[in-house]
Amino acid sequence: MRRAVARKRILLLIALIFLTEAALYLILTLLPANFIQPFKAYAWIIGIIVPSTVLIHILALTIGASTFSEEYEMGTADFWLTRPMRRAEYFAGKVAGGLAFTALIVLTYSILSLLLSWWVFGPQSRLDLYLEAILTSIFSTITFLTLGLAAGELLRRSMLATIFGAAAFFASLIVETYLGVVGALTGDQSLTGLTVYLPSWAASRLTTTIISNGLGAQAFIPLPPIATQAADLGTAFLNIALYSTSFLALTLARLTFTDVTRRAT
Amino acid sequence: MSEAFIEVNQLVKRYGDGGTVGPISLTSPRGVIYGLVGPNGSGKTTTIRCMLGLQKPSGGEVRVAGLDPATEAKELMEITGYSQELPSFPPFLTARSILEITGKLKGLSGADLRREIARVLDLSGLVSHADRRTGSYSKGMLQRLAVAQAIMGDPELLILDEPMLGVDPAARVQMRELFMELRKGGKTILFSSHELYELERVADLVGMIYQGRVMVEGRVEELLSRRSRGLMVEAEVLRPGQVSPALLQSLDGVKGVEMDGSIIRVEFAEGVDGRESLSQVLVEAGAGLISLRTVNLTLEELFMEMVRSAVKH
Repeated sequence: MRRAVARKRILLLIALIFLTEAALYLILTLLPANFIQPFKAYAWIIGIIVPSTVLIHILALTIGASTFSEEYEMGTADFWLTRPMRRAEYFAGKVAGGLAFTALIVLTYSILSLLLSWWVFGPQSRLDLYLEAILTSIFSTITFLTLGLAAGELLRRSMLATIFGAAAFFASLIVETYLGVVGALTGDQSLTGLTVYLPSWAASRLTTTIISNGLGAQAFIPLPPIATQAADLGTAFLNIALYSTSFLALTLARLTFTDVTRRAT
Repeated sequence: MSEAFIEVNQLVKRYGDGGTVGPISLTSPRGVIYGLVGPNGSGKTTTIRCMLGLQKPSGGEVRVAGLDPATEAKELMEITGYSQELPSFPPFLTARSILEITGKLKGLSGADLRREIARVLDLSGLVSHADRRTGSYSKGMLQRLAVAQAIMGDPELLILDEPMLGVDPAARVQMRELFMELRKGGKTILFSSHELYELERVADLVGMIYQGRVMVEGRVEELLSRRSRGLMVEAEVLRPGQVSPALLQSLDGVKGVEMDGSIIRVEFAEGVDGRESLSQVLVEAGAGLISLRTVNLTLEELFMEMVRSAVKH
């Protein structure tokens, strides 16, 4: 975790998330009062949903991409892998560390969103959904965290793995949007149906769907375009579980069955 | 020689870029210091990494303490300490934290762990730097820490890849004494080095690797006593201009003459002891003989002989 914090690109992304949070609430205060009124009591939700659509996934894949690869780049993989532990234990520790760090960021910006919204708009409602929203946000990051882990372990170069992971994320988003738009224009439901197989589909809208379902018709929430389409929860959980399991299996296989790369010089 | 503790049999490692190391075979019994020598890229580190399970052999077999490093790495590392070539540690950790992690993974805790950390810090001369982050360590300090974490928990086997690299002369002496002490305690140490002089002073056994193969292996004293050449005599004279190589070549049984300023080296054919005739010639020529001594074969010379012979073939 300490190593992840030491990386500039990770720090930059964390800063971007917190700046986005602050900017969101600042912008909301500048909007006309009659526009804000319907969702004043639910303002905490916006601070959780907005990062959960794109930013947190980029951060998760960046953390994942450097988790294994930096050990090879710095030559410390030899140190860890010559301790009396199995590679599976090393793998489990690394995955747990990456997930814990990502979860901490989600938790921190979620707390910030609640504090800011309370401070700016007064008492907040439906906080019974708060914990569920945080846990869902954390769960939804697993797809791209594990994609980053797999890319990092396969390529053993952190920058290359981050670029590869980000390319996969944005390609998935673009294909998803394209299929959605073409499907809507042509009325071909099968095209929209295909989007559920994409890795970004569940990750980017799971939190929104959980919160929307919980709120029902109680509130009007201005959502980012990517998150406006609801997800079938069962399919979304399955999508995340299948992608994550595949990426983790790939990472473990590479770590277990191939040589430990010597430090790149 | 007792039963093999380290056994590398026809080890071959093929790399994706077409490079191949091996076949390498070496054997070491328990309780000795085994020195692995060879130029850069000869396959020393590959052999060591295969012994630790960091790399899997493409062919052949490696057994260390009866264990297969490829499948029993955890069990092997419970009894092994390893120091890598150009050691790297997480830069945000202090030496104490690194030793703590290593000790805990070796099953130490509480007072035992603290005592062991104090012991290895003392042995490695890092007591006053124990709480500094390793990112600020010099090359020599990193090397000392590498050896310190390798000896944590008093392992039965130490595998040290170039442990003397970048270490200052005083620390070198300490390290040498430490190795001797550990051997006295029954530990087995395998270390690779370019420093043939260091190796000659501490190793019991030596394996010389060249172009991915072990060319020479054996007990150091046996290798050095092998007369692959005749007697070599070195004379120091005051007036080297008074003698010519041709004059020395005319002596009975002289195989070669080398003159380097005031130093004259004469090699005699096997079985010929020409020291008396040489001193006589030098005195008669008025060269001003100061000293005359027999030069023993060194590991360095042996190594160079091996390289020359390999190049010829």
